[in-house]
Amino acid sequence: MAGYFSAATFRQIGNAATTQNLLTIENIDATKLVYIRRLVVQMDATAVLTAVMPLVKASRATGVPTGGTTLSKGLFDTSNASNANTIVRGSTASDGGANSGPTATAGTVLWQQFMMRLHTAVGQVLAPDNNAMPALVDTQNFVLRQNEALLIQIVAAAGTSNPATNHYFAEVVWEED
Amino acid sequence: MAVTFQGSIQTVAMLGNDATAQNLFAIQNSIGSRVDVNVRRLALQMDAIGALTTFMPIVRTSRATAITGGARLDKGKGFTSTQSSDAFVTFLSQIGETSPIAATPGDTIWQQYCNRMHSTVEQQQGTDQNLIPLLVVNQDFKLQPGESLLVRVVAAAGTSNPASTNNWIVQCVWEEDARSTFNISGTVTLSAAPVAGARVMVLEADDELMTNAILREVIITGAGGTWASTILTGKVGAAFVQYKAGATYYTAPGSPFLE
Repeated sequence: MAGYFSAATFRQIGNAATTQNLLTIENIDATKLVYIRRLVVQMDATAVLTAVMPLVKASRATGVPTGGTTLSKGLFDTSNASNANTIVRGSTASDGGANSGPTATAGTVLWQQFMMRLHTAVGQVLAPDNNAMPALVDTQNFVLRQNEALLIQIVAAAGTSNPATNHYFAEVVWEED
Repeated sequence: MAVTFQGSIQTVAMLGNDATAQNLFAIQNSIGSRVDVNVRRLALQMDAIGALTTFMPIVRTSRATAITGGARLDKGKGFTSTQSSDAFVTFLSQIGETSPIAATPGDTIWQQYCNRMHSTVEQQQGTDQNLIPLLVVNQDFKLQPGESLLVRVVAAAGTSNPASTNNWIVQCVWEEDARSTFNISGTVTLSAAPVAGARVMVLEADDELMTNAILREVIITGAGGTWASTILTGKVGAAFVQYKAGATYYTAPGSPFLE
């Protein structure tokens, strides 16, 4: 049914690797379209990192994702039910839980963001919204057709740049026609 | 339908609670409301004056159930003082340790980190954190009658949300959009004569089993014995009458199942 919906991952800790899949959203419906309206990532880092910070990159995954934790959907209007063929996946089933995916292969980068790091561990730490998709998708359709998916992935130059002291979450708003 | 009220509301500054969960704010559009509540802005700010070297709490917004407690906030006069808010639309916040909000959170709609001080030096900023995505300015995020929204701090440890140093405020802009209704009416008579001063109790419920029934209003009939009310479209109404003349009490067969 048409409407706006949202989903948010639990808090996910860095995996000490150069890539980490935070969130996927897929559309496996033959007739219905999914429009991404907002996609943000926030992070808190509690340890010093003097090297370049990780990037968060959005891309169309090369196939339909698998694994991970299927996330519950929030409804902008309870008169509207989200299509079961719209599936949002995160990596954990609880805050700070063990990462379990989702499994997806990144495609060409659509948008990317640096987020933050602590060069020295002093002063205030802010965690602003980082747009994983450009903000204009609020009004300009970014479309997922059947068996298309969007992947939000952390890409670090070295595993040491994405330690378990990094705490991420991602969240998405989409529209279904 | 039509927007009948636009307003904004704020909590006072609330201290943390030394716990892993703290309900800061709730919007309730209770059964009996004649409006949908469209949330247009829901923002949080915080100032932490103590150092926190572990990761900061997350603030989550969800559709909640079983909300009790808290202190009711004054809705004020709204953006246009000629409008009035539906009495069944209420806003709650925690005010001090004596008025916590109890609630069962639902699935997360949106969430935000805020800030922390890794060490207590230099300038601190208390920037707006969006508890509902900004696009709700133009895209309705709707609370229908019987629905609620909860803002909740979730911390990994109680020490991450200290009662002595974390200061939270929440503010909201909302509008009320009238729902459609249908008219019901009647005339109270006694021995075929109109009765003034009879009490007509109008009930409204989800269905004929009177699920979620509320007393919508009590009408005192005028000189012609007539009364009129409205029932939300899709709901069921019922009317019952009682009348006292001197020491004599009267009642009348009810008018149930008004659809």
